[in-house]
This record gives sequence, structure tokens and C-alpha cells, in this order.
Amino acid sequence: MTEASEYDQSDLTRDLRQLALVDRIIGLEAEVARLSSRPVEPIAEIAEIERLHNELGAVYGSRAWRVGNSVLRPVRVIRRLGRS
Amino acid sequence: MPGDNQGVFLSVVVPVPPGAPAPRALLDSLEAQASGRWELLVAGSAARVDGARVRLVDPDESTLSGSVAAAVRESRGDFVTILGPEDTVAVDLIERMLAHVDETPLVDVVYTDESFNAGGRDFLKPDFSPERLRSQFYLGNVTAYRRSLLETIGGLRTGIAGAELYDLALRATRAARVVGHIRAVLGVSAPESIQQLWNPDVESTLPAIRAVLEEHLAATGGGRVESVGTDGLYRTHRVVAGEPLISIVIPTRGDIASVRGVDRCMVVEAVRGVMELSTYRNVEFVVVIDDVARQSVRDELVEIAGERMRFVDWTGPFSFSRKMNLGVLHARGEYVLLLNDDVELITPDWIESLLALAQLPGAGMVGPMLYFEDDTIQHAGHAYWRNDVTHIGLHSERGAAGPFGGFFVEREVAGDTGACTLMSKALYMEAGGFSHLLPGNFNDVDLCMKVLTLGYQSYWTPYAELYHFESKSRDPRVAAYEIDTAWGRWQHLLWESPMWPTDPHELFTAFPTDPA
Repeated sequence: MTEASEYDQSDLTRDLRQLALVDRIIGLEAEVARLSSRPVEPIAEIAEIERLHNELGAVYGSRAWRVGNSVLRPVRVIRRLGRS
Repeated sequence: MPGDNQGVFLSVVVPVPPGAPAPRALLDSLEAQASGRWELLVAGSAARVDGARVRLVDPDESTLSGSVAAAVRESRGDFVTILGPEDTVAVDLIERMLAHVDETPLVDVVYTDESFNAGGRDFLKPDFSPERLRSQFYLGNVTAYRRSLLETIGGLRTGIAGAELYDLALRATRAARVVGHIRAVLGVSAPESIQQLWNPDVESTLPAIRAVLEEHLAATGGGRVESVGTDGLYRTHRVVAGEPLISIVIPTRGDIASVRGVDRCMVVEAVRGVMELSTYRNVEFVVVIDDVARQSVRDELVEIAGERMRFVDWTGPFSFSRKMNLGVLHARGEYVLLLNDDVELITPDWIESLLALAQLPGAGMVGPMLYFEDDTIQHAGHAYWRNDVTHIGLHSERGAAGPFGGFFVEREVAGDTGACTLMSKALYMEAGGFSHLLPGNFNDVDLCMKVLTLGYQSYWTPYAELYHFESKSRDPRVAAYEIDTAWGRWQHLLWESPMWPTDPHELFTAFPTDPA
């Protein structure tokens, strides 16, 4: 039996944050898609889409995202190559 | 226009064995089409069928399948379909197909939903589901093939008595650029298959069906045929490549609950069941355990699983999502099997069944059949339908076939329950894991939708079976913010259910067998 404590705490914090950021980005993009899927977007929804885009931009521009993404990106590239 | 080769869009080939009635109703339904871009080729019959767009093909051919193959070769339409003499088509079939091809120019095979003139239910089919197709010829009668594709693959093969059409469907869909599905009932079919016209003895067709399935599996990554049934359901399996490490991630409080009248520590018995029954051995357990759990729980788990057991301590407030994320990050396996602690294994080769599908190219999540303690179904895949999210098969009887055998076949699904699902760890990371915005409810639906929108296909298998002792009367205690979050993201994708287009709440009994 092994206590799973060998995971470096700073790496763990970084990876948990990265999971949360990926989730947030996919979630924001989904919200934009939902609002955009309506035939006619009321002004309030257009404003909401703009707000979500701004939030997405903030996440993409954050240092936390850039650091975490640099760790995960190779995994995604390998997976996509495997599917092609 | 009749006689204009360029103008024929759909060639309808109808096999008519000697003595069979002429396909009058089919001809009437074709003549009722708004579009005149069709022709009817009557194969294998000397019976006269009058009509400007009707041709008799090889009435002297020695075998019916030979006549059909000849008719397919002589067809002039852009697309070719093979229908039974007692089938009919909807008056807008050709218009709908023309519109579909116009919208999807690369479509090479297109099928529609269909009804059965025996008074049975309509068969609302899933969008193209290649894994289901190797388990069941669900495409059915109203399936049209681009003629150029048929020429490429050599047309209808003969010498495989009774399996010709299934073989055609398998080979054509393998070669097709796009397989389209028109979500409308555009055909009425006789209850018996067209195949029975030239081989009414279904039992004698099974070796040929097995042969074409073996060829298909070999051509699509491998697999084995376990059995082929006269009910049209074929038990086929994908095979596991290698023996990758599977990390079974179980969040738990170490609770004790009553099962079959006996108190048990749920996580201990879940792990014991896996260790004692599971045939797949390259596993580790990552148990995310609350600090309230008794030390004896840890001791028992170590006694059962030894070096395979690893603990991750959890001291925070309740969050299924955060616990799972923490466990997965600690997982060493290439694949993670997310598992609730209140389960009991039934099928020893459950991991093999799940993993074989998870290893398919582009695979998302893979889930099993789950039963409640009273042997009713808890989960046969997820369906997101009419803004509702639910389990397919919920509360149906164990052993029920479901609509058209849907509970008996491996198939594509929108998602699987977070109570037991296997996926690659890399995909879990790519999807951002479980959302911490959804600590208790809909986190699995959300993960499934993330996986789906990333372009991965999830699967469900009936060959991995477990009990899930979640109370049937469980109060989900859904918070408004959970609905706002989940539906705020995915509501636009929760109306149609392309992989399970019928009401997922429908109840099914085990006997009599549901129509397949």
C-alpha cells in the first residue's frame, strides 16, 4: 500500500487549477454557443455574449492558463495525432 | 424524367421471388412522389409490373441475390436502395433525400426511420452508429447507397446467402465519406426482413452473418464474434490492445449501508468484489477518502488490495467533482475508471468490455449496465432529450431487450453515468475533469457534454454489468445554481437525442421479448 503523497504539492495545485481553467473555458464557450444558437439574439443576450467573450479572453490571457497549458498541450497534440 | 439517365436520382431495386406478389403498393407509393426522379427495377421475377419507370432485370437469374446484384449493376440513379416487395415509402421520400444530399454533398449512404406494417412501433433510429451496426443491422430497409460507391466496393456480393444486405451495409459504411440519417419515418416495411425473401430459413443464414461480421471486425480494428442470433442481435466484441494500467478512482467516506438486509462497508465490498472477480489484473485503486472514515476501513482495503491500494486524503467540504479530480490527478494509469463506492461487480470481464471500446479511435467515455438492488435497470447510457437528462432504461426490468434490442447491444451514446465510467486520463485532462461548479449534481452530464463537444464519441456496453446500490428514492436535492450552470452551458444541445431518439423514460419488461 502506498500513500499517494508523492505528488508534489505545487504541481498538484497547478494541475488542479489547470483543470478548473480548462473547464471554465469550455463552459464559457458552451454558454456563448447556447446564446448564439437562438434565431434572434436580444440586446441583452448580445451583451452577455460580449461579457463571456471578455471573460474568455481574460482566462486565455492569465499567467495561470499559460503555465498550465504549456504542461497539458503536448498531451492534446499527441491525442489528436493519434486520432488522425 | 422517365428514360433520362441524368434525371434518375433514386433507383429502387425490389427482389421478387417466383410466386411472390408483384410490388404494386410499392409502385403506387413511388408514383405518388412529387419528384419523378426515380426508377423501379424488379429483380428476379417474370411477373409483369407495368409502369413507365419500371424495368424487369434478369428474370431468369438462377438466384434471387444474383438478380438483385444484376439490378444494382444496371441501375441508373445517383442512389440505389433495395426494398422488399411489400414495402412502401412515404410520398416525400425522394424530396427529403434530395434535400439531405443537397445539405450534405459528401453523403454516400443515407437511411431513414421506418415503420412496420404489422402494426408495430416506429423504429426511430440513432444517427450513424458503427459500433451498434456490428451488433445489429439497424439501418434497415430504407437505406440508399450512392451508386458510385457501390461500383467502388463491387456492388452486392453473392454467395453469402442471407447476409447480402448486411454485408453491403457494413462494406458501404466502411467506405462512405458520410453516412447520413434522415430523422423521419419514410418507409413502411414488412415485419420479416428482405433477406428472408431469398432465404426464409433464418437459422441457415447465421454462418454467413458470422463470416461477414468477422471480416468487418478484422477490417475495423479487430474483434471477435461470440454469437449471432436469429433475433437479429449479434454479440460481437472489440478486443483490448495490450494491458494498460487502469486506475480505479473511488471517492468515499467509508460509509456503512444495508444491502440485501446486511450492513456492509460499501467501499470495502466494492474493492473486494473487483479483486475477487475481475479478470483484468493490471489495476490500481486510488481511493479518495474522507478524514471521517474509520482507520479500519483503510486497514481492510489494504488487506484486500495490497500494493494496488493508494489513498488520497480528503478533508474539504463535500464535492464529488473535486474529489474525483484529485483522485485522477494521482492516478498513474493510462486510463481512469471512475467508480462510486456503492457498487458490486457482476461480470468478471467488465474492464475488458469497457476498455476495448475506450481504445477505439476518438473514443470518449464508456459506461456499463447498472442495476438497482431489486434487479431493475439504473443505467443503460445517458440520454439528453427534450431538455431533460436521464438514464436510458431507468426502472425497466433486468433482461428487458428495450426498444429494438437497444439494451442488448453495444452502442454509441451521448454520455455515461459518473457512477462508473472508463476513459483515458489524457481525455479527462483535456476536458477539464469534473466541474467544481457542479459539486453534487449534473457533473457527469457536464463532463459528457464537454467530451462530446471536443469531438469524442462515448459508448455503452451491456457486457459490463454491476449493481449500483443508489437508492431508487434518492432525493437528488438539486440546487438552482446547478441547473443554471449545467443548462446554461448545454441547454441548446439537450433537446434532440441523436443516439437514443425515443423517450428514454419508457419502461420495458423482460418478457415477452420486445421486438428486435
